[in-house]
Amino acid sequence: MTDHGDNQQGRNLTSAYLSISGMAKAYRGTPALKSVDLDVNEGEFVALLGPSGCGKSTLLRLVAGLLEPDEGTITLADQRIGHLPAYKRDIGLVFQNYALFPHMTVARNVRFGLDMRNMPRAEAETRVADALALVKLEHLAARMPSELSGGQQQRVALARAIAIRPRLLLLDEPLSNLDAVLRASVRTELRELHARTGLTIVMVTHDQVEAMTMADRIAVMSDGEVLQHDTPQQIYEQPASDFVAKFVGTPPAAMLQVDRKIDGRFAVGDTIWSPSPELEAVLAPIQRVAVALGLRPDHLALTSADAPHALPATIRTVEYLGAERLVHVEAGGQMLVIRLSADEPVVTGAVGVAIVKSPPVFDLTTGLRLGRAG
Amino acid sequence: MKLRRAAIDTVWIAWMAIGYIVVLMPIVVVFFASFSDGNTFRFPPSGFSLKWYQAAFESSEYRNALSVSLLVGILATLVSLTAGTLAAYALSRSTFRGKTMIETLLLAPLALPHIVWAIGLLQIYAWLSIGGTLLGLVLAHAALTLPFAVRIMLSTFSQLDKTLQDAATTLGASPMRVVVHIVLPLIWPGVLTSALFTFLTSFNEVTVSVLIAGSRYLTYPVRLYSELRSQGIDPTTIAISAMLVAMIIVFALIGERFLNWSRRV
Ligand SMILES: Nc1ncnc2c1ncn2[C@@H]1O[C@H](COP(=O)(O)OP(=O)(O)O)[C@@H](O)[C@H]1O
Ligand SMILES: [Mg+2]
Repeated sequence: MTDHGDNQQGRNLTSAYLSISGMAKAYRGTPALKSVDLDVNEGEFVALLGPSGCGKSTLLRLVAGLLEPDEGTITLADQRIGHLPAYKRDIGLVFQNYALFPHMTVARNVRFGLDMRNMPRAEAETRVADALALVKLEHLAARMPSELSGGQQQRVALARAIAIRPRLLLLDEPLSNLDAVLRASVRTELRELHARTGLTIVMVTHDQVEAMTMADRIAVMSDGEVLQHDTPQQIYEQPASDFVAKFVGTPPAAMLQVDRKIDGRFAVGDTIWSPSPELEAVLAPIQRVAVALGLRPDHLALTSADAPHALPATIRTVEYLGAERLVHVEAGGQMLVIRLSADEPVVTGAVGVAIVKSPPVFDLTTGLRLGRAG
Repeated sequence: MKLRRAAIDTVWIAWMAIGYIVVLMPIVVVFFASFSDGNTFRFPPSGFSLKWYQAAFESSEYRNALSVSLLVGILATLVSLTAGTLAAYALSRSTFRGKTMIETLLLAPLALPHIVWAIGLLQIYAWLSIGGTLLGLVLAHAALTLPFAVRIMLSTFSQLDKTLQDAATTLGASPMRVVVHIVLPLIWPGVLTSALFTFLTSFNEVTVSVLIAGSRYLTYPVRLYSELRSQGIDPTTIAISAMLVAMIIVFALIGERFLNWSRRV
C-alpha cells in the first residue's frame, strides 16, 4: 500500500474489487488449478463451491499469498497484489482448523494482528473488544483456546481476522468442523456479520446448501476450474453444465438421457416417447444423436401412465420428508425424483412422468449446456 | 477365576518390583553409603556423618573436575542445540527421498560404541590440531549429542501445526516475527528437554573425554574413573555422586511434571 509507484503502474481499471485472472498452480507437476478467472465485487459474499480436492483451498491460499502461483494475476481494489508477501496483504483468512495460537489467551489471539501493526495499546484494546463483541465472546477474553468449544474457537478465529479490518475476508470451510445444530445458527450469524461489517467475503465450502443459503454469488469449481459463477438462483435454474446441475439442489438434478432415432422420434431407454410441443421445440433444433435432460423435481409431475407426452415409469421408493414426499421412479432404466406434497395420494404400479417445465439440456460427452435461448 | 486374577496381578507386581530394585539398588547403595562415618566405601553404612560431603566441598581437584564438566556440558549443549534445532527445522520443512534414512541414521550414536567415535574423532582432531583442547572436547561432546538434539527437535517440530505460522503471516507477521512470536514459544519445551538430555549425556561421558581431553581437561566422571583405578573408591566421590543423583532426580521430576519427558523421548 505504501508502494506508490507500483500502485500507479499496477492500476487495472476493471470494475471488480477482487479480480483473479489466469490463475494456475501445480503441485509437483500435478495441476491443482488450471487457469482460474474470478471477479468479486466490493461487499459481496461469494462462495467457492466444489467437491473435496477440486482446488478451493489452493485458490484461497494463492489469494492470501501463502502460495506462489505458477501463472496468473490478482488485483485487489485496483492494485496488483501478486508481488506482495502474505504479511503485507491485509487479507484475513479463517482456517478450517481455526489455527488459534495455543499459547495466547483469546484476547491476545485477537490482538495479534494489531500488535503486528504496532498499534497503540489503548486503540488495540478497543478494537479487540469490538471484534469480540461482534462475535459475542466478550466474556471469554481471558480464556485459553484449549478451554473453548469448537464453535467458540471458530468465532475467535473470525474475530481475530476481522480485528485487522482486512480488505478481504477469506473463510476456508468455516462450518465443516461444527455439529449440525451449530452449523445452522453460524450460517445466519455469518450472514449477519457480513451485513454489519460490509466486508467482502470469499467462503470455501463443499456443501451446496451452505453456498446456496449464504452467498450472493457462487463459483462452482471442479477439478481445478471454475465452471460457473452466478447467483444461487441462476446456478440452480440455469446450470451451465451437467456437473453444476448434479452438484446443486436438494435433491440434485437427475440426468435423463434422451436418444434421437433416425426417423426423428425421441426415445428414453427402449421406449419411444413423444415430448410435449414446448419441449420438442427446445429439443428439435439440437443436432445430437443423444442429449441429457437435467431434471429437478420442479420439472416433473406424476401422471397416469397413458397421459399424453408422459414417460412410462415405475415407482421405486417414496421418501417422507414431513411437508412433502420425494417419489423415486424409474423411467427407461433411469432414476428420476418427483416431489409430492404430503397429502397428495401416491398412485402405485405403472405411472407416467410428465415434464411440465422445460429443463436444461446438456451434451452427453462434454456435459455442457445446449440450445440455450438467448 | 477372581483368585487366579489376583495371583496373576501379584506376580506382575513382584516382577515390576524386582525390575525397580535391579535398576535403583545401585543408586540406593551410593546414596546411603555417602552418609557413612567410616573411612572406606561400605554398604550398609556404618554410623552417620556428613564428613564426606565436607571433604567433597573442600577438595579443589573435584571442584575443578566438576567445573570442567559443567563448562564442557554447557558449551556442548549450546553448540549441539543450536545446530540440532536448525537441522531439525530444515528437515521438518523439506520432503525429499532418503529423508527417512537420514532420520534412522540419527540413531547411530545409540548403537555405535563410543570408543569407535573416540578413535575416529582422535584422528580428525589430530589433523585439525584441536586434540586435548577445550574446543576439541566441546565439539566431541556436541557431535555425540547432536543426533539426540535433532531427534527431539524433529518430534517437536512435527507437532508444530504449520497453519499457526500461516495464520500469523496472514495477520501481518513477517517471517522473523512468526519465529519469535509463534515458533519459539511453542517449541521451547522441546528445546529445554533436548538441552537437559544433551547436558546430562555430556556430563556422564567418559570414553570420548578420556581420549580427546588428555590431562588438561579432566571431567568429573573421568577423574572419578582414574581415581577408582588407582586408589579404589574414595568416599568423597560417593558423596559427590549422591548429590549428582539427587540433582538429576529433581531435574527428571521437573521435566516430567512440566514437559512430559516420558512422552517426548
Ligand atoms: N501441499 C500440497 N502438495 C501436494 N498436493 C497438494 C497440496 N495441497 C493440495 N494438493 C492437491 O491439490 C488438489 C487441490 O487441493 P485443495 O486446494 O486442498 O482442494 P480443496 O480445498 O478443494 O479440497 C488436491 O488434489 C490435493 O491433493
Ligand atoms: Mg480445502
